[in-house]
Amino acid sequence: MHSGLQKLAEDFKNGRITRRELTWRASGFVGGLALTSFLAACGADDENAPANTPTPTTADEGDADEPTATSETGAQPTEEDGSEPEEPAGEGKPGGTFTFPIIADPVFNPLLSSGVQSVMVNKVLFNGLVKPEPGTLQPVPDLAESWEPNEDFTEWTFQLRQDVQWHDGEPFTADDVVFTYDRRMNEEGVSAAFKELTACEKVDDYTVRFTLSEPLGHFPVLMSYNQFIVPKHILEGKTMVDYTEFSIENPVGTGPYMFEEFIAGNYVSTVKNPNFHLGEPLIDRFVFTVLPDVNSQVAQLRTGELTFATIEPVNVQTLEGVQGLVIDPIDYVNHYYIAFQCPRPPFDDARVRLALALAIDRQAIVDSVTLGYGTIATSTIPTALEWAFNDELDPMPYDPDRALEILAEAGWEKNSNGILEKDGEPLAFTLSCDRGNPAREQTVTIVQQMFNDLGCEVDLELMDWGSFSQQRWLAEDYEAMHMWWITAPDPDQLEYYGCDGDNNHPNFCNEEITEILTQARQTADMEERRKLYYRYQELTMEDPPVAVLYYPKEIRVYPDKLKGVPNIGIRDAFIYSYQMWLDD
Amino acid sequence: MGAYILRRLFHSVIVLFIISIVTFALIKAAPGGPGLLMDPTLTPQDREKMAEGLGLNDPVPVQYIKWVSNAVQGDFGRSIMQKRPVMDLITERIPATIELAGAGLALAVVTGIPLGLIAARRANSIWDRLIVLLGTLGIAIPGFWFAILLIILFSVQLGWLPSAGRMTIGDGSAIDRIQHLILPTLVIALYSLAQLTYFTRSSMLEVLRADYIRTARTKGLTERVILVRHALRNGLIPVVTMLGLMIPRLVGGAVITETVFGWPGMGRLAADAAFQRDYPVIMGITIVISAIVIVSNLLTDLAYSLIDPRIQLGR
Repeated sequence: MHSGLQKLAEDFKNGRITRRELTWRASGFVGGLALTSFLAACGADDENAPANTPTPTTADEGDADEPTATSETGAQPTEEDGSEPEEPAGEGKPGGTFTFPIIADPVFNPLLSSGVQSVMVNKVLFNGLVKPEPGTLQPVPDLAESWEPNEDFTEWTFQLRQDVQWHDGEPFTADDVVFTYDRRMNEEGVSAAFKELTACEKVDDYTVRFTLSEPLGHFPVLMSYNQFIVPKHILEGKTMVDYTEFSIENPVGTGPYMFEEFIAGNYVSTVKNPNFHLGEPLIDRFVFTVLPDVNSQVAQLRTGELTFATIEPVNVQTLEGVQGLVIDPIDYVNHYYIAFQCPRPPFDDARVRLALALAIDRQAIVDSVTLGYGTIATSTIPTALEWAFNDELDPMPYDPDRALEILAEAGWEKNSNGILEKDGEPLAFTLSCDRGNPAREQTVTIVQQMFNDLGCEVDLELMDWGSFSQQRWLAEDYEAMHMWWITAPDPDQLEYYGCDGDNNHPNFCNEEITEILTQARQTADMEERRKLYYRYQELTMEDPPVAVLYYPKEIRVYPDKLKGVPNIGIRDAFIYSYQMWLDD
Repeated sequence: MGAYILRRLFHSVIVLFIISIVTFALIKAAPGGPGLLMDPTLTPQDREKMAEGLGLNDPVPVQYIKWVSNAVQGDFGRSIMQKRPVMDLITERIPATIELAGAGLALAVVTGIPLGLIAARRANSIWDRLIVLLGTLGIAIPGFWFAILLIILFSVQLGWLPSAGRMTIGDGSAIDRIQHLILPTLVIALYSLAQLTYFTRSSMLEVLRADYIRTARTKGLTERVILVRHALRNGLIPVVTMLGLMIPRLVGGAVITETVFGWPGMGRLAADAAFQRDYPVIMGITIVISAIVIVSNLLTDLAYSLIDPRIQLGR
């Protein structure tokens, strides 16, 4: 090594090499040395990069990053449908600070798509016209007091509250609503409004009317899902994308908490809004601290530096039994599935898709992957949507024999090697998944094994999220893949599983199912909708759009001194931040 | 000397250009696009509109020309994810990075070099073996694991130090900041410390075996004088090189440490940008870190010439 360098120095002194040669060769030596140690350093550092894989959601402004978990053995959930009865605002002791982890810096303008961390912060700063009620997930008043449709559900008129103020004291009026939706329909770079929305008009200072291109009976539910209103008097005349004074430095909303301070990379702090229209919040401060690594979050839950977090099943063991911490699993609107690209052989034959769905042992997956923090899926409508979930149906059984029968009807027989074959072609395909989330990687490994046991030849393909989403999901260029949908709190899944659905990446098309889903969204009669969705779920037993696996539970962890936590998923829980309080 | 520096700077600019071209080509060639476009609520038309707005439909060379013509004026464009000017993002993060890298470097130097010297002086003694063992451990232990270990020990179980972040909310005093700095510094310094120990030790061992040292001994000089006046300056030359090469690693490669400790530095910004294919941020950070590397190389070479009068720069 540097004996070489010493030799060089000596040679130079003795005149054997020139100055130029010395520096040239010395750099070479040291460069090579440094390169190897550099590479070793890079190797040591980069290996366990905790990957933050984004969550695809609908109407959830952009890609969301969720923390991932490490592997440990399992534990049983401590409560079933962990719920605390909602306590009305005003009950409970005021004071204290609520600290919540986010994984990246947020953007405060809710109209600029930017990931789940922004959504979380915006939930305390801004409001929508309606909000979802914990438990039932039905729309209840927020900025609007009441609403009604016209006869064919193509027009919805909302009566707004008259006592709402923006954080800077200005009154909230219909102008703000009209302004918000006008920008969303017309401005570039801003998150688009519903594609069915043709107009949003002011009827008077506190009345707004939305006009739709087709009947939507469940429009109020859509309005309760991430539909924030922004102030016209501040943003008028500005280009949203450029106006960082609002999106980074000083957002102004109507929500229970007002912006206080933002130190980039570190934290965002908000203070309670004494003029909040549903009553002054109890907790003094909501602080969002930037903590990208799930292990740090778990550590801070233990030390009490964090007041609330959601964790993966594998982290439960570390936290249960810790004095003063509550582990609270709840249902939320999410379903995990295996999708088959329907136009592509062999999946163009619906019998093949049905057979493969029957060849999956869902209980095994729920046990080993979710460690009990999940429910076997019956159809694409999760149990969290209680009113529409068809509890008369049994989940698809694990029945490989029946699967083989169906495949035989379709012309697939096992050859001498035990592989299913038709016309000389084996039933071989690639199962794709995004890399970095241990639960999903485990799931596809298990599913691959089950399919191979049946007689298929399945290859696994794991790609990083960026490549996976662009090349497989959005390009619809895959054979089979594993994904999930977190949706609005409504069973309307026409966009996902209807023949012309925008999000129908498997390109599934069943006329009867599409017809039922279309009818079900065009009425507001809950009973009628329920009957239609029950029928939809029955139909999916015969022709599954995707092979659903399970509905995961959201596992919340918080100290037992935190009261008033609503029984609703984390993305909506903070709408109710004004009624949470700390008992200490 | 002045001419030499000017020439080096000129070369640096060329190098930066080449780096920018290669980086640009590589990230555009990588599969996947900006995370923003992966929003499932976007209709295909919306996605097209956004891609057009971001300039992604132009041919790659055209995109590069657009980027570089802004970059030379100091405008690195806007982050796709955060909508803010890239330079703002970077300048926000630089203090935190410099703080951590500086503290790490200082710790590594202050601990590593003396340990290496001790080991070399008492070669093959019990001290030497112990130090070499520690050095090996330092190189072998993965930073991620070490970080979690420190957090569990000092934050969770003992409660002595905070587990993440750069300061406590509402605080920000010097004591608070130092407390937050301790654990991440230990983690980031570990590898460099071990490397320096090893390197100093071997380098000094070589030097101590040289003829002129033996001459000095026969002249009757004390070991200490020999060490300080004669051996050290020669032995430190490769160490100085090593230090110069550590800087880029500390500045740009602290991703793991920054992630685990929630430290708001450039490493994490770079990693997030890479995952999200946030092209302007990736380019901006690459250029900034390359510039830092080039400057630190230059300073290393200058330091070289100061330490060893035999080495003359230029030509």
